[in-house]
Amino acid sequence: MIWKREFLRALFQPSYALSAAVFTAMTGLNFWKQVHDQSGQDVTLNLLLFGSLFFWVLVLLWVSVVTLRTFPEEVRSGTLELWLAAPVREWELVLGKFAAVWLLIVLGTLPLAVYAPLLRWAEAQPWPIPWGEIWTALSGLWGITGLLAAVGMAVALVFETPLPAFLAVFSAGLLLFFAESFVPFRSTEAPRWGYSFMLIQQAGDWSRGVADTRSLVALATGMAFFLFLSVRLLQLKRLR
Amino acid sequence: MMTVVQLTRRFGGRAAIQDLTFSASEGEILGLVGPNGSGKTTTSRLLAGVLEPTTGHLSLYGRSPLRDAIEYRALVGYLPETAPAWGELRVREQLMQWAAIQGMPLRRSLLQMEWVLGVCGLEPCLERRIETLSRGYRQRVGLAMALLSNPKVMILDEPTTGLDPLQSETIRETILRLRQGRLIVIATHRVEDAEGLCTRLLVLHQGRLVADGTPDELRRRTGKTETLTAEIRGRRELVRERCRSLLFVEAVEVGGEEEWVRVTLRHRRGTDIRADLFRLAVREGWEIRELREERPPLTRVIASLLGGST
Repeated sequence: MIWKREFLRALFQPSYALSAAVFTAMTGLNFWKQVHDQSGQDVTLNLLLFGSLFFWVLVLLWVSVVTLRTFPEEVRSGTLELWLAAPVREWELVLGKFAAVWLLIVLGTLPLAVYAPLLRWAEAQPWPIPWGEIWTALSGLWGITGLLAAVGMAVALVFETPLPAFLAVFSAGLLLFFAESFVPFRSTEAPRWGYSFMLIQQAGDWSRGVADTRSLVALATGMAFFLFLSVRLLQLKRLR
Repeated sequence: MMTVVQLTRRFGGRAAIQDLTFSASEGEILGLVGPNGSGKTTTSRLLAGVLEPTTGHLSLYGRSPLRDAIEYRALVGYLPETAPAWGELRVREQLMQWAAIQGMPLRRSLLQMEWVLGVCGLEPCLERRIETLSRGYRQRVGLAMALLSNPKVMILDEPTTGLDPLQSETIRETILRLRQGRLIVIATHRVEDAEGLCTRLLVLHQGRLVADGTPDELRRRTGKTETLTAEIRGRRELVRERCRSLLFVEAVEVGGEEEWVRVTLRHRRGTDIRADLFRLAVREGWEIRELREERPPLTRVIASLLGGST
């Protein structure tokens, strides 16, 4: 019930519609630029769609904006106190809000599936659209955004006002993405599980249409951990 | 039904509430009064189950906010200080969604909504977005949300703060209507609320309970004497002399017109001399056209209980 309420409430908010429209326009422009810059080269459509760093920075920015709908806005408006007084368990609230945010992100990324048919229509050439790879990449994108949203919720619960929360969520996402640059298991001898937790590696794999169950397990584990952390942080609010 | 034993809540090293002990039952309107920072809001939030106590026990109908959190919170309707609400929603949407969050079935939600709309006078703005409502109407929406599940206990934190006198009066009337069959706890720093609404006051100061009683009991605890004023038709000197002879009377002042004497009697605290005065008037053949107990303003009583600090 909570997920449905939160989802519908956000869906009809101008702020969500605006941010989703900006995200769609920016990713569309990015795709167009990639197609233009790399014409004549042997690059798969999926890499043009999902393979650029700019695309993933856009994803990170947008997820950070959407995640603000979870708790910082509730703190700002004082409605978190209503939730804490309601006969609702903390995990129900966290899962409900997470499901709503994830669904909003999935909905906002669906237009990405339309870019390939649009390109084919614009080029007026009957080339086959690699639907399997596109959906694999989209699934990976949804998995990664799910993890980012879970991280965002936990971080946003620490920062109680929207702007610091946004900056913290974005920074946490950047850190997860570029952890490879900081951690010692960057080398080829790095254990496979470590590799699975590197989002930039995952993004690359998924963008190529490669699905790896270890990546899925890593994403699911990460999500579960940060959701658990969010529940504990929410419970802590009763003690602070 | 509500039992609070040695309730303490600390924020870091500072105790916002310390060793608070009281019990209350349905039909009471309990006022938490005291100066800013005395712990009224913390107490409200503890009673509403929003905060967990550091030490001590709290229970409602035997339910603990720690052990039976969901059942406990289902018994309580809570209106926080600023009456927060999801501003982009319409009043109807807000109430329907809140009913669903409370786990109410649709049919009951509709019936309850109809009832709270009537009680809180919200029918005219049912389809209006909450962010477009006046402060008074938003307060009513908050009250309606607190009341929606027909809770056994209502915790209202500063329910009339920021409202104009007319709006405050409307909210007070609504609260009085809700008293039947439930316990209402009001945290307030407004004397009008404490005086006009509360059947019992808990005076808090620096997180501690300094007094507990009805407004009249608290008045009697402060000052050594009480004052009764009467207007009597009789001879001024005779009135003064006879009244001074009444039991428990410690001082008599007379004034007023030639024909009607205004007599002010200071009598010992906790005594009632009205019947004696009537009997005296009958015996002396006096007429009485006015008789009233002079009560010190509650603000002064509370200030006195707090040792002069407000």
